[in-house]
Amino acid sequence: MTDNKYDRQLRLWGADGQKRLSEASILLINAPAAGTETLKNLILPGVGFITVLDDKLVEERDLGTNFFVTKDSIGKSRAEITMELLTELNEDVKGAHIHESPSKYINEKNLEFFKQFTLIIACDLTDAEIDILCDIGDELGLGLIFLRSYGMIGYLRLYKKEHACIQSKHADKELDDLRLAEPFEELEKYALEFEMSSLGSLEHGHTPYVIILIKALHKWKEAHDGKMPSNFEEKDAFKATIKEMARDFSKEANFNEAIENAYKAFSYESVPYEIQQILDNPKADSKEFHSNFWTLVSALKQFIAENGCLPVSGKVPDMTATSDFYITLQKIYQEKAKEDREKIKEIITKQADEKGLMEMLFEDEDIKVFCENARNLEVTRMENYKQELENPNTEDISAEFFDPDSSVQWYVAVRCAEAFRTTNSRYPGETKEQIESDVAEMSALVPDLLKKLGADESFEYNYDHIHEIARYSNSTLHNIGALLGGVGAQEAVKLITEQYTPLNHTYIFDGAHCKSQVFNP
Amino acid sequence: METENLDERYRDLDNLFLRDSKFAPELFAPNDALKTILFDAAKVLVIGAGGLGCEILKDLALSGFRDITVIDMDTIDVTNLNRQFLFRKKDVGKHKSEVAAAFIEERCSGVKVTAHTNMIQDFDADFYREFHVIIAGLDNIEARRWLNALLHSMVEFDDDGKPDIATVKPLIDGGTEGFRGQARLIMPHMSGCFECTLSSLPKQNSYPMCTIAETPRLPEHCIQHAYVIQWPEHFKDKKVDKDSPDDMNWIFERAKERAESYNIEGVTYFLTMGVVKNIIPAIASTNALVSAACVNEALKVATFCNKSVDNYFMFMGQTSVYTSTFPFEKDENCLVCASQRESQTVAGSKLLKEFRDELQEKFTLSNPGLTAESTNKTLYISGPLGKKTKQNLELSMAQLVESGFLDKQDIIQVTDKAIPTVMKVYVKIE
Ligand SMILES: [Zn+2]
Repeated sequence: MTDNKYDRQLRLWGADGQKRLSEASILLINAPAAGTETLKNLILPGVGFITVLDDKLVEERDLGTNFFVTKDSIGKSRAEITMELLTELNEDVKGAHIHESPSKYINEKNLEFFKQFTLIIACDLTDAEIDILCDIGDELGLGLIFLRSYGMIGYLRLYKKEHACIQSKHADKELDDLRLAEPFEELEKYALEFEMSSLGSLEHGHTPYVIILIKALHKWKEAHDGKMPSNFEEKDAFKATIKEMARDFSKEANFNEAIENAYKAFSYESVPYEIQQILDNPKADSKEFHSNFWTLVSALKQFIAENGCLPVSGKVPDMTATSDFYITLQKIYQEKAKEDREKIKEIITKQADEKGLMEMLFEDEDIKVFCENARNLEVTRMENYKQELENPNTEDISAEFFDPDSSVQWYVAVRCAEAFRTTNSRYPGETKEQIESDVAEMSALVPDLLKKLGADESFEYNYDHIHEIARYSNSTLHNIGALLGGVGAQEAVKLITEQYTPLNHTYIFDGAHCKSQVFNP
Repeated sequence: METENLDERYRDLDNLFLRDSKFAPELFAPNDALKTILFDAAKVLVIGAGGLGCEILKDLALSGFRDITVIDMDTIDVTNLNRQFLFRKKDVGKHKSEVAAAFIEERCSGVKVTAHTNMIQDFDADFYREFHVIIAGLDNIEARRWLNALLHSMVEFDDDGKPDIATVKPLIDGGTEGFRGQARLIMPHMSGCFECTLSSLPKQNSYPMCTIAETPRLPEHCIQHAYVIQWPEHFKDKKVDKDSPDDMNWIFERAKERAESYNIEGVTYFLTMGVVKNIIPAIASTNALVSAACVNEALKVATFCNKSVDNYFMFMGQTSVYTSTFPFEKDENCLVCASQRESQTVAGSKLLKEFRDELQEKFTLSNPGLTAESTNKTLYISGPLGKKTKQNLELSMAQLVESGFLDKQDIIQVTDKAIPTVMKVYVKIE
């Protein structure tokens, strides 16, 4: 009970998320601070298994930036030492190390090797290596997190071809699904038959706003050819009818709540646009098995075809009400939600039969979570790395060039530094003497890159950024590694638990100004 | 002791310290001495050795800070272990600051970490003056307010009313909740301060008393009933020990009974703990990134190798990642950092009691005492010393002026245990 060391995180991702975490196997390629810090932040919350792949030996310099080496370990395998000191953090986590060159595994495209992992975190790889790993990720459906740092600048690139998420847990999206605009039969019956005039003042002021709104909307529709209030004037007029229903509007919180929540009825869509897009994916109709997610979506599609709406979530937010009124109302929603879940379950079983799948893949709890979140499903698709380099998506990033404070300046600098690395097999500015010519070489790349990224011609790039990235060169600062380790682990948790929305797809932290931003070219 | 090869160990700092930059403050000049300053002279104080504190200590040791002091009075609990990575199961019950300091010293040879197990309020200005920068990784507001106000009170001003930079102690403050967090730099009397932003902090979850007592609907309402109504009725003078499984179980059982009588589902022990202890979700990754941002600022403040944050960095990682960096401006009416506030007009008919209640509410004070600056007379203080002043509460402001307690235009000095200094409220009685 209280002795659960994971208590504080279970309150975020629940037992289901924790189970996924404990079953995940993570590969770290190269173990500088950014890598070991990311692993630390995954080992503490109880990831299942880690593997460190690195062919370097611990140097004195590692002691100044990496917490998971010791003075005694100088000259020993960095993979071995970091793995040992990391797994020591949590007895629930097992680990292995491979003291070999990562390039070998990458260049050989060793699928047998990579397929044992849930997620790969890789540090300081070249563009060419990232490109190959993305291909491997595509083939195996793996999530990849690439980390690089240049002194004060941290760079994170996420890649997963397609990431489906049932519990997106948007801070601004409620799970409640009250069907005010299109109440189901039992709900409408209960609301319309709810007799308010005979109630005492306590009950009248504690009649749930759901009932008030359904009554008022019913009346409105009768007077307006069955149409909802649509424009501003009509909505105002509708709200006025609610005020009239109150005995003392200033004292009856429930009527105030009815007005505050009227937007839920106005903005209701039986199938929201984002959900329709997911349903339109060919995988939702496919006769083959893709993943549990698409199996559920496929059943959802059938459900909508049969019922004309999504399954009811069964979640009722708290509202001013007597205990009895609230519980009765909650039961009505929950009963309907249960009925809808049963229908989904039947469809899944039927579809599984048709596809020749023998086993029922889902626990009742899985179906419950899916139905509760049917309104908030998300599928994220990320741009492939090669695509980003050769033919970037300019839709969002081009607008960044109109904002003088945008960190897009650093995105450009990072791309130039990596292009420099590809050509010269070293970081720009490794010695002080190289700075001037390296800055010139990188600067020459900027105009073409800007054009590719859709920058407006009026945009004037600030070349101080190029100079600054040459100043930092290959310096690894612990703080920047630790910051990337924090962001990287958050994203890893999202990918592993399939909860929350991952960033899409590049994150840059500018430690020189303590600013950061997400880009998706 | 064998000599440390510090030059080689911290080689990654060289490019920062020895190379020119367009993004460094004007004061910055590439110099080998920066390393020496950092290694041998910089003294940093860390407040809190919890989720943020452990990270901050590690980050400091790996940024070249070698004289670190940490204060934390807490002991280690098993629920700390999912993120406070300097602690192991065997350490449960020991002092956080001591275990953390020992771990860092062991891992990072040559780094000195001094641990204190006191409350921060046990130390005075002389103690805090010793440090070049102070980093707070605290989860409670009271301690941060206290520290913020103390550091402001230490600032001296020149004849033009400008703060003397030598007396300005930079305070770097970090905080997290779930996937969200913030790191900020407070330069006392130069930037906005912790007190200025107090009103923007989210309020704690609370449920109306009438709902808890009369119309419970959620399991949380039943738990609150067991906690705030049934417990005091049953145990009279005994407070709930939130760490006692017996006490928590009692509340859980009562909440369950109440929920059953109303047909409310969902009262669990897990939820009971969450509601009674007002548990804020916390994860390793958010602590890591917020601490890293804090210590990166400490490194910049100590060496000028790049400009400091201006002055508030906010991170939200729940849905994609959204961050924002902006200058949190001074609140003109801040009790702690505003230099010259406008007088507020107070109606003569207002009772001192009403005036005091408003102050208490507005500035979240616990039990403020009031003194008129012009007359140096105590208008009200609580406790046995203030017995005589209690009757003043029933007097109107105009009556207080008439009886010579207060001038028509005056400064009321406010003291409260939440804040270690005297706050000033400028009033004009009409
Ligand atoms: Zn202030």
